[in-house]
Amino acid sequence: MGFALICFISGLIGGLVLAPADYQQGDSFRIIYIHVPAAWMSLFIYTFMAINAAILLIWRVKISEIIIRSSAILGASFTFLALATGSIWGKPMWGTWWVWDARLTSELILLFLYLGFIALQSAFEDRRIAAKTGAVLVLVGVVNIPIIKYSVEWWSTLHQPASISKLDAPSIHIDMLIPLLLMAIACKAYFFSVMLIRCRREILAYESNTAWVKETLIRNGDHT
Amino acid sequence: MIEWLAMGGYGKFVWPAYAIWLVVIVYNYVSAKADEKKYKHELIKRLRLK
Amino acid sequence: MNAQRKKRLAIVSLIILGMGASAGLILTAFEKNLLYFYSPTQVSKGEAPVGKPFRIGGIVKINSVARVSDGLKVSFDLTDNKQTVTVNFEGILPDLFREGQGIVANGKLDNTGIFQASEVLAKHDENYMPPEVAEALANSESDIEMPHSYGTQ
Repeated sequence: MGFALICFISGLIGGLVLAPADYQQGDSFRIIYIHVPAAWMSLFIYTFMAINAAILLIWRVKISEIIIRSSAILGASFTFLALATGSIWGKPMWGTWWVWDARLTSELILLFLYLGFIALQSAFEDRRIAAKTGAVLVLVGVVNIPIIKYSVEWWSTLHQPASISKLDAPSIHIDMLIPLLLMAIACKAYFFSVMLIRCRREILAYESNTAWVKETLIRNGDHT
Repeated sequence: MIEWLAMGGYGKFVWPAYAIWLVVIVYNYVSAKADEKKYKHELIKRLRLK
Repeated sequence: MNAQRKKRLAIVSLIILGMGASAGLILTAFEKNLLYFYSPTQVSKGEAPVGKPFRIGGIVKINSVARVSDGLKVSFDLTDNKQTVTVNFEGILPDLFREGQGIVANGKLDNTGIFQASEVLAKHDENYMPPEVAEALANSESDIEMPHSYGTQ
């Protein structure tokens, strides 16, 4: 978390203070520093969950079950942030809060996939059945990921194409790019540290009847 | 400073976007931490009762 | 890998392949509806719906914007560097609206071939740079380059 915090702070200073204003959009483009990393994370977390869903379904690895359960809320949060900040950015620039173009619609479907997974987790008494059903949902929904990514190339959309599709020649000036990359790294580090906190809690729940949990808890509990 | 806050006239869009972002990011971290702590206390209580 | 796992692997692969294939079919079938806007070339070829509202996207032609009378009415030419369609609009334009800028207009074609827009949205491109850099670039190449996203698909 410390590393994430350092990247967040330097990324925010870089993005909000040091980076120059855009030639077309002025200072409103600064929303990019939260919007784009959030959108990247929404795709990354879903892909990460889908891989773990496949591992869970094929090899029955319990930690994968814990990982997808701990990631979903973060994925939903980042998807919500991408949509909300994008909407606030769209109003002054495009002239509208929302359009039903392929990019925005497929990102909204992604939010519903995350929310559907979360709803499924509380719908079942048995956590293991809940996790397996959820894993199937995640795998079914993974088809949406390439659709989101390539929607701006396959169809005409109001949303512009990617600025950083090729690393050698991004369509964004270097002074504006560095804070963006810092924010992206920060978001990733943040995701993994919050996910691990959630994993720890889930593992405790799974193992609450084992000797090691009892021992460590009682021992540490005396100090707190 | 005031000029910076105005964001070239886009302050009323930029700052709410960052505010929403900050709330969600902080909330996720705090709630994960609180959840873990609460569950640990629950477990300890349960184990002590036995 | 034992037989059980192989079977599960097969099922998981089938789910993904099946979903991919059906999504592909659905998206191809609804291709037209997924296009957010038509280009002026498509409109002049008659590919856009007639008598129904649709969206048209392109670049506002340089020196074509004319504000009519009271200032809220505006008329301009929309181009994809191949074909041009004249657009009439009355209302508030987005901040990014300017000559040489990509826009998307929602409205209908009238009998005279003029597009009567009820809404105009700005479509910005994927380039971000400081004003000084943009100026330097503009000096070195005077032509406006057409972003690939406005070409016919």
